[in-house]
Amino acid sequence: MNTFAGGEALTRKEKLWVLFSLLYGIVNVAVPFTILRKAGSFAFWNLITAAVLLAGVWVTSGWAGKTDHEGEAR
Amino acid sequence: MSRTLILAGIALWFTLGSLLSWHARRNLGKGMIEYFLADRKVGGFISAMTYSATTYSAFMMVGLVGLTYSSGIGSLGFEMTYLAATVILMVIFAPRYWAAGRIYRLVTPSELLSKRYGSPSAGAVSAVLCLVMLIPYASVQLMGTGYLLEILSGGAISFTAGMIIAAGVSFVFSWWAGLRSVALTDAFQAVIMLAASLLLLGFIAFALFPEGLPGALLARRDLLEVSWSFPLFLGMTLPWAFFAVTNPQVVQRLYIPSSVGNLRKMILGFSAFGFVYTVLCVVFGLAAAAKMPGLEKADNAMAMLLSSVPAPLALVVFLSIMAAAVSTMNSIILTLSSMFGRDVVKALLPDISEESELRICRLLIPIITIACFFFARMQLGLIAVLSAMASGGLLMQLPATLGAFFWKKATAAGAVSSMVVGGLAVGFMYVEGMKPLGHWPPLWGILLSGAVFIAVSLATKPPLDTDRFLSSVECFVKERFWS
Repeated sequence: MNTFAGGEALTRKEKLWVLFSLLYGIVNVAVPFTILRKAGSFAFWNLITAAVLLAGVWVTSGWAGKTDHEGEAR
Repeated sequence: MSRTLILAGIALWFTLGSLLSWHARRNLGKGMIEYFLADRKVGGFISAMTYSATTYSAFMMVGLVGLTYSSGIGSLGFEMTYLAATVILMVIFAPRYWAAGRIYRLVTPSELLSKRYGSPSAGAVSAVLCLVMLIPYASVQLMGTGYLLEILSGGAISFTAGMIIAAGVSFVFSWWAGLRSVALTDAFQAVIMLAASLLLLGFIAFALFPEGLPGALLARRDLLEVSWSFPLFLGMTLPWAFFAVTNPQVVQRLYIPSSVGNLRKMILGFSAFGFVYTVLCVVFGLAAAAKMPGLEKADNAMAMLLSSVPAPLALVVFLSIMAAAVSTMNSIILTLSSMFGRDVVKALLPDISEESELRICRLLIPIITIACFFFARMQLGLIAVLSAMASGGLLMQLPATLGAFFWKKATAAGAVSSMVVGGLAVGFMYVEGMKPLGHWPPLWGILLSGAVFIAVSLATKPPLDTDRFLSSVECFVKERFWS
């Protein structure tokens, strides 16, 4: 029995998002604390955050047309 | 700045905010969902702005500016990591909270735990944890406003008077029309926060650094190096990275957008606001370090920066800081009052009518406001410890929250014990000043809390309704968001 709902609960796009987030988490720390420690972190942190925010625009693009005003689900 | 000018500015800001509150009250209906969630009918722009104003407190323009002044660019990494992590979590969790809120008519974040785990004690423990952690955090907003008013007025407005003003405004904005009022005034205050920061940037760039701001900042190469140690970065960032799912005042906002499209606008609007506001605050810290190095107290960097700009601009920036403090505080007060009513009182008196429940919740708004005021007035060192551990303590809800959505074997006993053990462990380590192996208490707390959650859940039986809860939420999310 699969006790984790996550495997079946997440859609393909959500799984991609989780993988992207893990990659972000590693790069976001590894680069500034190693090769960019002396210089370049200001630009790096701005760019990588902008990349995550833009990816958020892409991943949620399918929600955009859904403008129905929901009542309570019954 | 003269006392009269400051008081006139506050009076104008309060009058405009009160007019918005009055307008909100005209549309106020009856019931808990109406009062605390504006009937789940909030538009995209207002949702984005209330989320932003609730998230970004006076810490940004005072604490973050000071942190950047004293420790350089590491603070940008800390704050940007928080922003990116919040957006990452919102993409996964916002649809689930939104769906569960509608399916089960939830009002508070803790109520979701009660429903999922089939036990009111899970919600009650979460609510008590939030009360303990957030009252000091809200008190710090009052203290920040009190100190700033005292400094800017040259002592003409006392620390206590400043706190009374901030507490009074918070009370009026939240009590009058609940979330309808808070959301509208938050949006107004978010616009002030952003507009004032942009004006200040313009003045700094063209008047304070006529030779060029980028060149002046590049001259302070020491501040552009990452001087933070990795344990410091991790200790600061870890609790805040999960803010979006552990702080009830922002989680509750995931229930309010009127549609899927408006929930998306909330996430994207917050992303844009957060990015611009963070960059601005960090630039202010760097500019202050370049212009006036050697301040004894880094947290005074913004106050010193304001002393070198024209009085009208300084007043607008000061009002934006006060707006940030008040918009965070009134949201916390409103959320805590709803949690105490729904997750504690209703757990003890399950047959209470909704009308009586709402009356108790509204009565709690002034009580919590006064509690914050007296807490702040004590000015104890303990407050600093408690407010610092607020985000770390709230992080202990993370295992229970993840389990609620993604682990079928998670149980109420696991959720309750993880929050209690994790909360006590983090509190103990903060009070004792312990940092085992050089790492901060939240790291050890979350490891312990997660281990307890898994062990106790495996040793106990999950509620019978687990599959029904998970499948109802997942079906709703897939159908409405991803189909």
